[in-house]
Amino acid sequence: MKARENPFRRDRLESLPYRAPDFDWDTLEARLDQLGGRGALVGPKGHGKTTLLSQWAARHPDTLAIRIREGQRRLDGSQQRQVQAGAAGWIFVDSAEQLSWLGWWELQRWIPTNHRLVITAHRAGRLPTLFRCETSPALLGELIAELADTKIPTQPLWQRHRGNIREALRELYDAAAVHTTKPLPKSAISA
Amino acid sequence: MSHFNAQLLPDKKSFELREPIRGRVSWQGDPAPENAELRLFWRTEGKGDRDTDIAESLVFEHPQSVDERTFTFVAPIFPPSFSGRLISLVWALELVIDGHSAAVVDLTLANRSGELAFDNHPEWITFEGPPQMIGWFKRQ
Repeated sequence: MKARENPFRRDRLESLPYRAPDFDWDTLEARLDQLGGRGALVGPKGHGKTTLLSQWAARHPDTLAIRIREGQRRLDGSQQRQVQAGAAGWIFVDSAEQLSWLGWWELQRWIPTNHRLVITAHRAGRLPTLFRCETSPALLGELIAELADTKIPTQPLWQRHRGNIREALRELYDAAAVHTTKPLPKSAISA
Repeated sequence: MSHFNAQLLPDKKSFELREPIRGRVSWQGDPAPENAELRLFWRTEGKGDRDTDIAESLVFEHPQSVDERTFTFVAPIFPPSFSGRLISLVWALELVIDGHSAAVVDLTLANRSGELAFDNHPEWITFEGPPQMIGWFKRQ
């Protein structure tokens, strides 16, 4: 299958709206206000933190979204200038746990106090937990049905990737890539 | 998302390299847009991050609330449309009105044999671009 026809290609995954049981944007933003405008989206890898963060950022026109790279201990010069400029009312920081304590302290010091700050992290701690991102075989099945218009048993796939939806869907990308016809064969995702 | 009702109609959807890409665009909405632009660009699709680049753009001067314009680009010789299992390169036209995408049409820009399909080629393939841009792609 050609990459551009693969139902699990990256742009299709990124177009999926974030979803979770009992999740809605109004409740999330109200909770952020209750926490004083600063909070963390917490969850393991591939559980939807970045998806939720980026889609949240897209809801507001005055946002600054910063992605901390793996191993990055402090904001780089460009990121520092953007934060200090204070032009955005919302600041979203993905993978904030990568920052060292010094880097984290600097970030908090540079952000104007009236700005909202939302971070993602694998573990709770740096900011009060705003929302815990979780996955389930049912959620994985729902996403696969939406992407590939097919229903498959998702329990083994979900377990094999320890709930990491991103990795599970990447496996399905590879499975689909070596087949020339739709739908995705069930043999491709057997345990 | 644009609130304009827009149409983007290239004369056809497959072009040879260096061939003129002609067509027309039209839109309607109120009030009149402050700016309207047509972009010829490519993007990658596949397993990894998306990459994209604008090859040419055409700004329509003094756009009206109901308007129709014609356009002509020349199909760049590099990079051609291609597809493998891991990555595809897709050319497209996009009409952007007041900073929002109003219409997109995918194109194929390639030599006479059409989009390069990596799976159907020998172990190593090459295609000629400008002398400094000879590209080599390993078969997946």
